[in-house]
Amino acid sequence: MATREAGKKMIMLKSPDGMEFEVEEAVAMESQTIRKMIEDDCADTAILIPNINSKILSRVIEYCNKHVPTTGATGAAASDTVAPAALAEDLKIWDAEFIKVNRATRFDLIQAASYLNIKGLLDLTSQTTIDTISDNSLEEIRSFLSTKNDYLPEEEQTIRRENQWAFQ
Amino acid sequence: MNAGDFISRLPDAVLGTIISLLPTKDGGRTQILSRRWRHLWRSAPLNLEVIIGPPGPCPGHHHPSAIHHSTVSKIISQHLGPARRFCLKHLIDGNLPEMESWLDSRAIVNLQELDITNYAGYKTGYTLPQSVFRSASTLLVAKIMGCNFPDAITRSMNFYLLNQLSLDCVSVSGDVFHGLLSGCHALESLAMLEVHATGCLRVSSPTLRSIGFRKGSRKRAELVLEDTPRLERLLLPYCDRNNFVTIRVIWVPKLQIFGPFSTGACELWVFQVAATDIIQHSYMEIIVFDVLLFSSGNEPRQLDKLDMHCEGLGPRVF
Repeated sequence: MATREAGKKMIMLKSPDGMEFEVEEAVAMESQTIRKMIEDDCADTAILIPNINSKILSRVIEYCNKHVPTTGATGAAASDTVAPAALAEDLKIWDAEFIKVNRATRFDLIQAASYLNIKGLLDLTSQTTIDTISDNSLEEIRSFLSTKNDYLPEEEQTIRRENQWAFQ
Repeated sequence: MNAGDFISRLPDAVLGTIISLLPTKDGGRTQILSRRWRHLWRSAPLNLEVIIGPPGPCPGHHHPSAIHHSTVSKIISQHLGPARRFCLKHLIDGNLPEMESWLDSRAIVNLQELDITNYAGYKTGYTLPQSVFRSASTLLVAKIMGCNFPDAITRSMNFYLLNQLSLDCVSVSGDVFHGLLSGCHALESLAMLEVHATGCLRVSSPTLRSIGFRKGSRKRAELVLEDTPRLERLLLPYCDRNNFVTIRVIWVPKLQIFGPFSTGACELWVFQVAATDIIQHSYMEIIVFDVLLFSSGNEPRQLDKLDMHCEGLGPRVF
């Protein structure tokens, strides 16, 4: 395993399109999936991340870099003087900026967060979808999700009848 | 590739997570989006928000996402379980017999969030059903309002993950309260607002970091912090209502925030009763009572003087 400087173990993440990202082990371990690989000693020299292209993987790493607990990572000295509440507020603003991406990218990020098991990122990326589903009509939701209604009219009637409580 | 192709690539588990975070009716409605979504709701962790009350709109209680109690049996017969959240808004007097059977169903298991509110208040004799804590071992957050705690409810019950507990307008015996807290192994935040206790409220917890306390009835109330090594915040909202509250502090080495106290309405006395040579029995007694009830209007402030006294809250002073 590559070592850039004393005390900071580095790890190589590879995307299927051939890009390589060298990240601190602590940052990579924000992903529970990668953490497990490292702890099980399955991460020899580089970890191939299937299904996540370099564009999305670099965004995921950016997120993990920001959210890794500050001890030992960059900005450790600064965090000593900042109150936790201010830090949390700062993170919230950063998250709001981070998630300003188009729909396709957001769904890719949801999928990546799910595969890599990064709870914070999954919650963040899913929230817009949750808001859309709770605030809009069925047609608007279908349009947002680009989901086609593939029910026959009589099937739809049956579902409405069986689940009347949801449509009242 | 359009966005639909992206969302259809998401695994069922992720769509299930999204469904379980939706309000109850919105979650149920996702079944009609398309065939893909049809079976997701049944196996996604259930978020069940129920109103127990007369049929029709409930005046003064706007809960558009909640479902009426008459449809609960239907929902839990359709759902495969587990549940993520069970939230109950109780608007009528007395206990509802069906509730035990809901809580015993396959749909309501492994709850993470429990939220029970009885708007009629504990004085109507509403007693928390025994089976409410069937998911004790998986609960993360619990909020109980307007209920009596039955004496048997918390005996030898373990809350391994419970992090936040809020008791509002609750009647509980001192022993049951102590038993409840002893069963909490991960509790960090405890809110006790208008808790009506018989006997004093004793708190021993190796994990607690924050306590909010406001007493209820006109009777005296006593809060004893016996062993709270990680407690950082002891918050006393609406201090002016805290007449005749006694707070005994025995072991709070990490306490940083205490208050606020509104100067117009109350005065705080802090004094140390401990003898310096008996460390294990040393405590400070804090009595909050109204002396200036009629001179209101002053800005609430953190009590500077108290900070001085609070220096004594660390072990080094004794």
